[in-house]
Formats: sequence, structure tokens, C-alpha cells
Amino acid sequence: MNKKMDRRAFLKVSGAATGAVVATVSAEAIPLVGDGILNDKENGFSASHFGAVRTEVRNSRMENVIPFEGDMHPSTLVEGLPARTYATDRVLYPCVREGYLKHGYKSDRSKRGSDKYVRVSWETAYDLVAKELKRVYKDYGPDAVFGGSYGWFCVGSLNNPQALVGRMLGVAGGYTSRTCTYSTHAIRQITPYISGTDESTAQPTAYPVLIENSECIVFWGCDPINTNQIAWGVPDHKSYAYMKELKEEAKKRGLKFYVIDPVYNNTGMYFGAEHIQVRPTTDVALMLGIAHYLYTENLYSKEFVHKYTIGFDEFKKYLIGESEDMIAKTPEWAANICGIDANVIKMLAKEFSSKRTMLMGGWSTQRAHHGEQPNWMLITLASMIGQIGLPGGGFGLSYHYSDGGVPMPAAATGNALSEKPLNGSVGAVADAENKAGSPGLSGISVNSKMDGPWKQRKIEVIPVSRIVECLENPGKEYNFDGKTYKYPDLKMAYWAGGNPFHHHQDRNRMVKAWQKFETFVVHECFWTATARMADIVLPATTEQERNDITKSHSNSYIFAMKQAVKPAGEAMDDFDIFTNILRRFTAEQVLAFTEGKSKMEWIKSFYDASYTKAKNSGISMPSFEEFWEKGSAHFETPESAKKFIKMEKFRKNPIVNRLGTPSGKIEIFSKKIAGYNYKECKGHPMWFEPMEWLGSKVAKEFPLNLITPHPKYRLHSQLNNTWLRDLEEVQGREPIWINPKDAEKRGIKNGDVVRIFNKRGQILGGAVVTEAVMPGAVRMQEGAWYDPQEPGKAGTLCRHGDVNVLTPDVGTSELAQGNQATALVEIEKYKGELPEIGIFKAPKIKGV
Amino acid sequence: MRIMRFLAPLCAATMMFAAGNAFLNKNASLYADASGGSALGELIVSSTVKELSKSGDFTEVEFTGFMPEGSTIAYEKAGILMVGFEAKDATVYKIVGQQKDEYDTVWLNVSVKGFVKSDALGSDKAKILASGKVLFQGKCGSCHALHAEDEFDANVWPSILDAMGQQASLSKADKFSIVKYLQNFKP
Repeated sequence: MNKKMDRRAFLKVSGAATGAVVATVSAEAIPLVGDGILNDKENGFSASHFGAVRTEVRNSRMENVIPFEGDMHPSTLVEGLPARTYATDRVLYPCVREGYLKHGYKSDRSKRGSDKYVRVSWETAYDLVAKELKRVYKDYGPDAVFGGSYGWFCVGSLNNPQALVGRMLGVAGGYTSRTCTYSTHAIRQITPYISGTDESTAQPTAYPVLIENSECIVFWGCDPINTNQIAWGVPDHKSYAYMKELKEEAKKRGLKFYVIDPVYNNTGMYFGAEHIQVRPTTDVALMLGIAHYLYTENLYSKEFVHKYTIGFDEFKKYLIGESEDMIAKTPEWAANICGIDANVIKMLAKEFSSKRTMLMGGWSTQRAHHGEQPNWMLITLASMIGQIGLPGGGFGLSYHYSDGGVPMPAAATGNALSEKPLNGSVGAVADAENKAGSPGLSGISVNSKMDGPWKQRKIEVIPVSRIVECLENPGKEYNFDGKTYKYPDLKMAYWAGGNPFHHHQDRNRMVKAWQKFETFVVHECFWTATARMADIVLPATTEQERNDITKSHSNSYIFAMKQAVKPAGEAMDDFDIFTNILRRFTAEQVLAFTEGKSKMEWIKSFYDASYTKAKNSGISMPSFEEFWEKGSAHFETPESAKKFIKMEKFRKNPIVNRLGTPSGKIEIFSKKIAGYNYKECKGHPMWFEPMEWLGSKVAKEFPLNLITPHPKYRLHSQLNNTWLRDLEEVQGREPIWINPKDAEKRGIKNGDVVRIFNKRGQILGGAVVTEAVMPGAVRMQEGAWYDPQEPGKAGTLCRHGDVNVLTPDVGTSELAQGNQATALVEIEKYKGELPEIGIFKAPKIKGV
Repeated sequence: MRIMRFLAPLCAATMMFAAGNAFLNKNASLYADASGGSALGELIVSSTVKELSKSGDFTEVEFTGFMPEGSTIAYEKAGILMVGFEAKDATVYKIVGQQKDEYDTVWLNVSVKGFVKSDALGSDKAKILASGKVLFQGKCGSCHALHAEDEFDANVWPSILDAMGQQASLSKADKFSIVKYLQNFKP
């Protein structure tokens, strides 16, 4: 490996990007004979957030993908891979906004979205980006560059744009990053105080244990059958095989299923679950009603509460109306808020306490005002039920995410350092359950290993969903998680592998706030709403246009990602784009970024590290060459992983297996949180009225409660630019589900285009009139691409149906500062001439 | 003379280690005697031990820490889940004191003596923690954004590493190395 790079080599590589073959997706000449329909080439192999695939290339194009044979339940979403490769909105050339090209950072930023784009050479683009980074570093310092690029990007250990953007900026001069996620903001801030860990990532009880032991399963604000189509790693969809088994077993054993949700979802339908229609964002009231009944009827587990929790007495006073609001949280009190009959609430209390019950909580309830409370209260409720740590009972808050609940090959111990194996494993006090399974797979780090000033850089962070507030209030102090911080003064943003103009709330406010950035650089494959707001757009390759390596989320496989086709237009790999930008800095900085390795050397190094670890743990793996040829390496799941019970050890011995809370127990009352003296997050779980809900004053003007679950035919906004949207769109608009009663009141019929609006904005949607959604609630999936009628203008109509035009951008509370995903709205039949959808066509570009 | 030959190195060793503190540079078994054999438990990386004497490849050490009454795991600090020693059973500890925390948990002040392979000891704690930093940055920032070191409480990091260790396939040694770096981090 050559880690040295002399000046000549540096310049030579620097020029390599020039003169790239120019081609367009639609105008590429295809030979009519030869490389055609019948060829003898073997299929390639690749992977994605939707599954691993064999790639079928015909006529020089990836025309088809065939799901990997190890995928237990392939998702239709993989069909989107070839479709998006040839989408008409591919970014084919480096482009710069016309005003920015003329005036640089002094351009009129209100023109973002409406300005034309100009095609430039890669060299010009690199020069512009590097020059601007240097200017911002010099004039404002590293914190002025926001590099906390957020989104789901792609899979691949090397071409991970988020790790790479941080790595590049870290080497170049520093940046401001972010903490938390838009998915799990509140749950991961609150649960470390409650159960001592981040419950969004904590392993839930394994499916085989549920199949054998559970008597009642509650899908509380989650839809695993829908959302497990995708995974953060590559899904192998084992959860579907287990869910099928669970259904079979349910028939034999008479398992009861409940879905507590404003919508009857796919999971409820599959399991024939009883639907408990809860008003949006009132789950805490419902849980309190159940808890009150359990307490007053003496149905709760005093033993569990006494031995494994602290603070029940403080909570109890609130529950029975002897503290704070002095109101007893009776089922009748709860019914009035959550809309569920008090007798049903009592019935649920009896069911949960008499049957072995698994509460599967989703993350939807925490993406709401006071989103800290539902998970805290759910853990409190599970504590009162007293089945935590027992087979098939308790709670799990990640069954809906990335095949949650599927037994995984445990980490390969690889501990060659402990000399004497004991208890059947390695280490003096060995964990017998931690048997070698999979060596996992590393990826490129956000930090360079090479020595240099970048090693000493301190990277400041902001809570991810507070970015607009940060732009609006530079220097302002804000509270977060028990501490006070100050917002940095951001001048430039660099995004790679994300789409903030999809995932952030209150789009119109955001459009205005974004003007604070003097420069906005984006790497994209497609002309997303975000790319269209950028000053500099750099075309990136898709996963199937480059080589990489990845693993299944379950750790059951390592996958080869072999380039199937050449990049569209002038698209480049993120790794190369960043390398070329750093070539405008110094050779040392280039070397720090690449560590002297070529892309293929990086890929091989990740595999080799796993190979060595596997070898030390007695796991066999093929050589890299064999693996690359075959496309996958498989790892068996040890039997012990199939028996995993969440918090079983804690239940068996709460002293040896103390939780990470200050008391070592489940904290129904948290002294720490109480000590923060926050108005909207107190020492124990409480019902706080959300800023917008069906019982609030706002509901008089906007009487429908919009909820925005995850989409069925997309990964957030990914794949919306493919034909998959035709499977559900209504007249080209994102569907909005509305109850027949609510539709009738408004003269709305199934299939009508409707305008959905509130004080924050307006969007179009296609009405689906259905009883699957309860009266008073409307359901519209997040992720439909933002398609402003007048781009760049705040308040304009979104023609396509981006729900985040309507959702508020107000933090959950001072504790988590999380994002919200619900809003009050009104709906009317759209009577004007239907505007044409504009977002899925590439904009006109000068110089093409 | 024979006695002198025997005593001299012993004295030298005693003098050399008289007041010395050392740090575990990796997880290592603690043995009852200097010949290996059955282990009393495992000393965890970066923990501080007092060096008492040297015998062949082994060093006799003493670890002093805190343990909730009824546990077998001794931590470096009371109330902080910074594992110093995992004992096979609680009888190996000598109880030297006790205190109660605000949650009424009794924390025993305990010590344990035994022999550890000398190559498991280092003198530079910062260097030992730095190898945890390399692992943290290498393993924890490749799938998702790298967390700030002080993002979670010292007591919370172990369970985060347990959960994510499944994803990142971290061995016990990897996990402790990363956890100790994070728990010792000072902004």
C-alpha cells in the first residue's frame, strides 16, 4: 500500500476527472444488435436498503433485478432500483445556480428554487466548492459550516456519503454536526433516564420466544409489516418469516392481537387484530387510564414495581389525583381525551394483566409534541403489568425497525487476548450467550486515522431537528437534555445523501430560514426538492453504478456490491468527489482522506478485517476473491440468539445486572429530569396537552388531525421518482385517507383531488375515503416529494403532497427538542384546474 | 548465597513495585497464583491496579473498587458502571468499607488481589484509552453519525454498546475498550 503521494502523482490524479465521457440517460445510443436481449453474461450482485439483488444487465442497462435467494420475503421496492437508475430526473452534470455562478456567496438567496441552473465542468465545480470552504473557514471559522448532513442515503461501507462528508470537512477545516435523528429524537433522549439505555436501538425479545410464549401482542403505534420492508443495513426480511410463524401459532394457541392506532394498518390486517381507535397524540392519556384501573383494581404487580423500579409513589399520587393537576386519571378521564370508551380501557387493563402481553411500541407516538412521555409511560405501564424480563411479555420498542426481533448472529468474540476460555466462551468471566456468530463488517470512518490537525478538531453538534431554529437564532441559548447550549452562526451547508426538504418540518418557514446559508452544496443522484434549492449540485452515482461492500442488517450476510452499469452522465462516486475537492487543499489532506488506499483497496480492507476476526473466532469465510465472485458470505445464527429475552438478566439479578439509570432500576420517577425544572417534561410521565390535537382550540378552525406514517412504496422520499408511486397515487397526488363521515361533511369523494391546509401551508392530495382511518383523523404518508407551484416562494401550494408543509417545527420539549409528525388541518375539494406535477422532471439547464 | 539469590530479585521487585500503580492495557484474567490455572475473574481494560510484586511472567496486583451489595462486579467508582473487575464469585473480594447512595443502595468498598500476566499492564492510561478512541471512531461512525463522547451518561454507554455491539459485531474486548474511552472522556 502506498501511503505517500508525491506532488506529481497528486496533480496527475487531480486531472483524472476531466474529459469524462459525456452521456445522458435518455439519449444514450444503444446498439440494436450484439449486447442485447440474449447474452451470456452472468448476472451481477448488488444491495440496497430494500434488499440484496442480482442485477440483470441487458442492452448495457440494468434492466432488471432479481431478489437475492436468501431474502425471506423480497419487497417490491427493489423494482425501484432499475427504475430510478433511468429516472428522467437524474442529475447528469455538475450544475451551479445562475445567480451563484455570477455573484458567488453574495448572490440573491431568495432566488433559490426559481433560478436557472448552469452546467459547469467538474473542475469548475471543485474549484468553487473548495474556494468557498476556505472563505468560510477564514472568515467565520469551522463551526459556520454545517456538515451534519442527515438522511438515509444508500448502503455501502465505502460510499457512505454522510461519513465521507464529515471526513472531508473534518480534514478540510472542521464543521458543525448534529445529534439525534428525525426518527427517534424523543425516545432516545428520554429512555436512557428511564431504563438506562436508548430503547430505539435496544434489542427486543426474539421472535421465537414470542411465538412460544406470548398470549397477547399489542401493536402500539407501529406497523412492522409495512416498515420492515426497509432496513438501515440490507434487509433479509427474516421478520416476515417469523411473523408468518407467529400468525400460524396464533391460530393454534388463540393469541390475541390489538392495534392501538388511529389507522387500521397492514400489520393489524394481517394478524386480524382488534382495532383500538385512539385519537392522535393521546396515547399517554389512554395508558394512564389503563394504569389507573390496574392500580385501583389491584391488578398491578406490586412485586415488580417494588423490586425493579423506583419512584412509583410519586407517580401514583399523580395517577390517583393527589398531586400536580389533582385529577384522578380514571378510565373515564382518559376516555374523554383519547376517544376510547372507558369500558374498553378497563378491558385492555384486564387483558394485559391477565395474559402474557408484549407491548410493541412504535416511534410514531414520540414524533409528537411532548413525545418524551409516551415511551416513558409505556415502560411504566409495562412495569405495572410486571412481565418485563419474562418470556413473551414486557415491552419492545423496535419491532417495526430493520427486522427488529429477529435473532442475530451475535458478535464474533474474536478475543484472542483472553487466554483461557471459561464457561464455554472467551474471557475469564465469559458470557456463555455471546457465542461467535458473525464478524460483522466495518465501513469508512468519519475520522481519518492519519495524523494531522484534524485529529484535534472538536466537532460541535446541534439537535438534528433544530436546524431551522438555529438558522433563525444564531447565538441564542437553548436548553437540551439538562444542559444549555448556544446555536452556532451557520453560513454554509454541505449535504450528501439526504433530502432535508423532505424530512424537515414546516416547509415554508424552512424555505425562508435556508436563505441564511450563503452557500448550499448538495451531492445528489436526482433533482430532489433539496437539489433544487442548492447553489452547487454535484451528480453522484447510485449504488448500482459503483463498487462497494455491505452487510445485511441482521449480520447474517456480507454482500458484494458490484458495479452493474456505468454512471449516468458525468456522475461520480462520492469518494472521488470529496477527494477531488481536497486536491484544492494540500496533498497531506488528500492523503488523510484516502489514507493512501484506492476504492477497491478500501473495499477489500473491510472484508479482510472481518476475515481476520472470523478466523480468530473459528468462523469460516471465503477468500475475498471467492466472495466477490459469489456475491455473498453467510453466517449462521447461534441457537442462543433465538432465546433472547429483553431484560431477562435484569429480572434474574437486578444487582449484578444494574441498569444504566442513576438508581440502577427502572425510573418511574427520575430525580435527574425533575432537577432540570422543565415546564413540559417533569419527574414522572404525565399527560400534557399537545399544541395541536383534537381537543385543542386550534381544532375549531382546523378540525382534522393529520398523521404522517411511513410510506409503503418508498423509503421516506426515496423511490418516489419511480413508477412505484403509480401503485397508490390518486391523480398523481399523494393519497390522503379520510373517514367516510369526514369526507361526506366536506363533499369529498373517493379519488377527488383535495387541498389540505392550515396556517403553515397548503398541499394537494388525492382523497382515499376509507374506514381504515378513524373519524377526525386523516392519514397521509411522509415522503412525497415537495413540488412547489412557485419554487422558492414561502406559502406556495405544494402540488404533489409533501406533508411537512403542514407539520409544525416546534421541539417536543426542552428535554429532547425532538420533531413532530402530526398537525391539525382542514381539507376541501380542490376546484381549480389541476396543476401539472413538476418535481419529477429535471429542470432546464443552461449549457446542456 | 542461595537465599540471597532468591531474595535479591524479590527485594528488587518489591522495591520496584512498592508504590506503583499500573493500568490494564487489555481485559485479562486474574489468577490466584503466579502459575495461571483457575482464574478469580477478569480485570477490565484501563482499570487501575496497585502493583505488589513480580513473579516470572506474572505481576501480583491489587484492584480496589466499589460493588453494590450482592453483586460480583466491582466498579472503579461508586455509582458509576465503569467495570474494574468481574469476579467469578463474590468470595474473592475483601470488604474494606461501605457507603449508601441516595437510592439506598449499599456500595461496598472492595479489594481483590491476584496475579495477572505482566504484558497486560501498562503505565500510560491515556495511551490505553486512546486505543479505545481509535476503535470508537473506526467502528461507531461508519454506519451512522459518530456520537459525541459526552452524549450519553457514563452509566448509559455500556448498554448502548451492548445493543449496537450486535450490529457492529463488537467483541467483549472491543466493547470494553470503547466504553472505557467514553466513560473516561472529559470535554
